[in-house]
Amino acid sequence: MFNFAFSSLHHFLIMDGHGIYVWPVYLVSILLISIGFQVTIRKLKALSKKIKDA
Amino acid sequence: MITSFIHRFSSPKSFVEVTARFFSYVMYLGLFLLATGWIWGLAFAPEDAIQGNSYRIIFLHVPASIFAQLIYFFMAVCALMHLVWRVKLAAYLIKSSAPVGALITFIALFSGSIWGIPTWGTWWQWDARITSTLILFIMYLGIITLHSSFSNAEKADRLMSILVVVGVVNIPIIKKSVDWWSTLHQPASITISEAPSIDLSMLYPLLISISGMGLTLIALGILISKLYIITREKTKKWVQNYV
Repeated sequence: MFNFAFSSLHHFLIMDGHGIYVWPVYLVSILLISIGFQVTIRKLKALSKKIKDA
Repeated sequence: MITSFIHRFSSPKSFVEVTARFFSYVMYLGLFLLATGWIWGLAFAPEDAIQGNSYRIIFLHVPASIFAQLIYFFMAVCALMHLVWRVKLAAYLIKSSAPVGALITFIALFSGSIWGIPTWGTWWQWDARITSTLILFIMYLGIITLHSSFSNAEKADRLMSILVVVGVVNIPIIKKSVDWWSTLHQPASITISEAPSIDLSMLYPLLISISGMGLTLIALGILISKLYIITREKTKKWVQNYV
């Protein structure tokens, strides 16, 4: 169950031609979720500062 | 009695204070499980006999699709609580959950479209499952827009809750669309009532990815709720003491 499913790292990245579909999906999703966290944390900090300064 | 219980434990102040205590645990456990599920699924799960390696999108697409629907269901429960018991926190949670729902529904649509290219030969098909999911995405955007278009926040809360309750009819349609209509989309790989149709070597990382995605989205939801509650209640004394 825990054997590497590919013969090499190159094979892992290419995934028999399917890597072009698989990797962008994960990368875009990670990026979007990270932006969600980043933007919210930044807004929260700015709002807290604004309330403290008021 | 129920009303007093709900009002006592659903104050925005209690919500912010209680969730702040376990936010870090939820977020880090969620990210850890998500990373574990995805690494296991991408690198160690065996290749699918029919779809080849393109099936590895399942470890993202299925969790995203499940939570796209679950978040809306959660919002519908909150909408009922707001309309029936006038729970203010419930309206805040709807408003805060909608961006999370929109984000994850977009990810479900995007990952499904990309997965469709190697498996179906097309990135889009106007069939029941995909169209009803697109409607769900539009519903999320509509809820966000509707609330933002009113200057009276209480009125916006009420109208938003009504829209959420009306829109919940779309959830069973999404769920049953693959059974009710002829569609390119495959039936559910895992259901509560039946044995899973996928091999255990693929099921385990999928379940871990679902748990990780759930906790990560809960963490994001908590964060957005906190931001929204502080924005709405910034003139209150408890907020000024809290920040």
